[in-house]
Amino acid sequence: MSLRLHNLLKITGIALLAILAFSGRAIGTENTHDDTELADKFYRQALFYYFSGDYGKALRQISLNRQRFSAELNVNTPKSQLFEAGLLVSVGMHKQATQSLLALEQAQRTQRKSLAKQSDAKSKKDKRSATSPQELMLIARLQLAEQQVQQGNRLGAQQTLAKVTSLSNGATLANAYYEQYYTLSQIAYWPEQPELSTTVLAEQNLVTDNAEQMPLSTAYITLNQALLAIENSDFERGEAMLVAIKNQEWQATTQNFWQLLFNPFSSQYFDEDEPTSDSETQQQAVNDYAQLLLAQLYVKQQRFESAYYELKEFPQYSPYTESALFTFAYAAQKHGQYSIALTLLALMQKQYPYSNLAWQSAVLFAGQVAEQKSLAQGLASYEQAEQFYLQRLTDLNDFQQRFLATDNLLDFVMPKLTSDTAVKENQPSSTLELFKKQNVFSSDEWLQKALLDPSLKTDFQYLKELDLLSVHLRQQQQKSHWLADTIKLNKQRKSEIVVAQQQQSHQELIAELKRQHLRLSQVVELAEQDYDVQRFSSQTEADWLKRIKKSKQLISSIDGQRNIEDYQERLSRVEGVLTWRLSQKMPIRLWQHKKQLAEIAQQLSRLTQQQQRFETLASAENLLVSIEQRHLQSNDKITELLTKLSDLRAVTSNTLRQKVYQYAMGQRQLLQQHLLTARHEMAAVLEQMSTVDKRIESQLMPMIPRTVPISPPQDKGRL
Amino acid sequence: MKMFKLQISFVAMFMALVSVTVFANDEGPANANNESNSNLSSALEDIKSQVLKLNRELFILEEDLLFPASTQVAVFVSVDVGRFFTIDSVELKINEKNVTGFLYTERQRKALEQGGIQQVYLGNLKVGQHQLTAIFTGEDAEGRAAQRAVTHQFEKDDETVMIELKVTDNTSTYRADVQVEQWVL
Repeated sequence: MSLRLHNLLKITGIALLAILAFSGRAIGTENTHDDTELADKFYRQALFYYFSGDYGKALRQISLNRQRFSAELNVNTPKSQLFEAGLLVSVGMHKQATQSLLALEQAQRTQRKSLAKQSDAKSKKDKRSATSPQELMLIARLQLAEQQVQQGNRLGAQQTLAKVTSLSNGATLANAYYEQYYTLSQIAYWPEQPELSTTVLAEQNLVTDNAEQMPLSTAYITLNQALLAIENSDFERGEAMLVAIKNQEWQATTQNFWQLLFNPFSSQYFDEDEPTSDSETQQQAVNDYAQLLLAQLYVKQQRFESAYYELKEFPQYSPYTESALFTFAYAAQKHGQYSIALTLLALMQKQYPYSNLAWQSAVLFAGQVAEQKSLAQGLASYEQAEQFYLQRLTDLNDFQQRFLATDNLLDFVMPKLTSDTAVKENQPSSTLELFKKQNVFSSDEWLQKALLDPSLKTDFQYLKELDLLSVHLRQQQQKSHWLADTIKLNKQRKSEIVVAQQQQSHQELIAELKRQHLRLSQVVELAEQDYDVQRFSSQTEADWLKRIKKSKQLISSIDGQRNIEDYQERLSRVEGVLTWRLSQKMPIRLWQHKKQLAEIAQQLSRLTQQQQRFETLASAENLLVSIEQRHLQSNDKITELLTKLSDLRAVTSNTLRQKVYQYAMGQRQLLQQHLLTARHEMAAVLEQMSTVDKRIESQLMPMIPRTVPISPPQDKGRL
Repeated sequence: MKMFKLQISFVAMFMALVSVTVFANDEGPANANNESNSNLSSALEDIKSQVLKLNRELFILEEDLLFPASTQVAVFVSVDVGRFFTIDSVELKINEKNVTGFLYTERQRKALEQGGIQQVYLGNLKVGQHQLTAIFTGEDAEGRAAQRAVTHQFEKDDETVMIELKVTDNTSTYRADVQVEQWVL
């Protein structure tokens, strides 16, 4: 009986384990958090993706947090909203970012106090970038305006900057942002004076500040002010500003986390290979530009000598070398440095054959040759210039034809994007490349020149983004197909499990186990009541008890044949010892059995719950059906988006073709003007040559004997 | 920053060449068709937004299908400061079985040190008691190879289990410890 009890317990346990394979329920966890801390953790997941350079995943995480946890937690904090807006600005979703910012601004107005409290939360991240919501909003708007300026959307930038002005109502703009604000306003409103509603820093202070190192952003303000002064013919003031800038040392402005977040070109996190001398390059560029502008100012004032000496030491490697070279050549020519001028004008044509300045150089060069050398050499130079223009016109026609005939315009700016290459490029994230700011370069000289137009460049960026979106969508489509297979397999699996379940009937098995449990409980209870020690005997003890019983039967059978007293005495002694031992072990064995029974009861209870849940899941078709429906919707959406993308690509390509066509027309017109000028000059030279010839002829005429023929005999008839 | 500044420089240069010099400028066409660009930009934004939404929906769908809350377990890694331990990789075991490993790039390590939290593992577990073991390898403050390990017992129930492994600098011992925190919604 005892053995049976053991075996039953074992079997019950195994059966429970086997059935527990479905699922189960558990109790709780040891750690708890307050809601703010937990919301912050979800926000920090998005932060990880952002710092890893994956904007797409960061954005997805933020919206996932909102979708999943907004019921339980306040995940939609101003910080997270602003982070989202920053990411949206970074990926070029300005409209949505503006909407987010407006919503945030509205929320701020109504909940200013509570938001201020939240922004003062003492988390470590906040300490790193302790910024008030107002300031964050300001950064967001500035960076948005900056991107709009870069895309040539000056009206949009003006509107965004106008909001910055209204935001500053009641509070002064921090100096740190003032310069960025001022520079952007200058560019957005150029050539008009920017509409600044805050206290304007005195212009003179910016220039005459004696600090050894000034922020680089100040240089841009001053440069634009100098430009404006020159535009208004206030040359003295312009010159003073430029002289101050070119000799000034500039200090790169540092940006905080939020400024970097909103700046897609930020190199702090994403360009690990970027040289550290970036600020030096910028400083040099500012000084070079001031120098060039100063020289151009002198040229405009016809102070060619000053312009010549200003550019004499101009660095060879500078973003402004081309303009500087031409201005220097022109100043040299006017200053009487003819050999230098000729060399530089020739260099211009050789080095920058597609530049408007080089085209002007060709005429200037020929003019100088004609003037200083000989008319014949001048004529040859003009002919060269004419050939130069004709060659450019041929190139331009060729470019235009090639461009307009190309199906995929991106062939002109980048290697063809295939799904494979995109996937490789996008490792480890498939969405990373989608949201990286696309820089557009072309190896074709004409297109590279056309790309100086921000609007055209933006269109190319759009085209690239559209292709990347297509690649991404196709990946999503593949994923969707995979999900469809998985759903199908799951459905199949589920139906198989349900069938198996119906065959096995776990419900009956559980009922049987419960009956067994009940029976065992009764046995144990009875044994306890009767103090039946033998019920809890082990295998050995049970064998002994059997032997004793057998011995007793044996003794009874030989009773009367032999003296059995001794046997009986020995047997009862053994039985006594065994009973004593069993009674000694009875309490602990009883406890063990009761404990095992309790455990089995608990497991049976779990099992019943599992069984019920299984029944619910098996009968509920909704879960998989809902997933299937969602999948179908997603699939339809993918198809719809791919069609939209294709349409939009066609529209963008057409727009690009039109713009490039207009650009080519403009360039052709310009070249034809130069060609015409060159031909006019050639005609003038020819005329001069003819005049000179005539003069020489008339001078030589008296000396020629009348009998000598004036032309070869063979030409005589024709003449 | 660089592009912004250079771009401003470029814009400024454009202005200068138009207004100051006596020569024709060398810039591209200034025929910005703002309206068409705005329409295009708006359409592109709209598609981008829909793609993002779709991405999110598919992501959730995939999770709901493959990692339902009743079996889902997620493990996260975070670094607090990171002065005493430079994390190189992490290896995770659940119930003595290797479930995942992650080798950090410089940027990912910085992302953690800058406050990011990484979801390093997402998987399924049945209800009951489980053991999570995490082994971090990296370098200590002196640049020597170092390892930090932690074991954590947890119980899986019907809800998602979220466990954060925090590599935290201990200023009293001048070494990093790994702390385990279980998130509860």
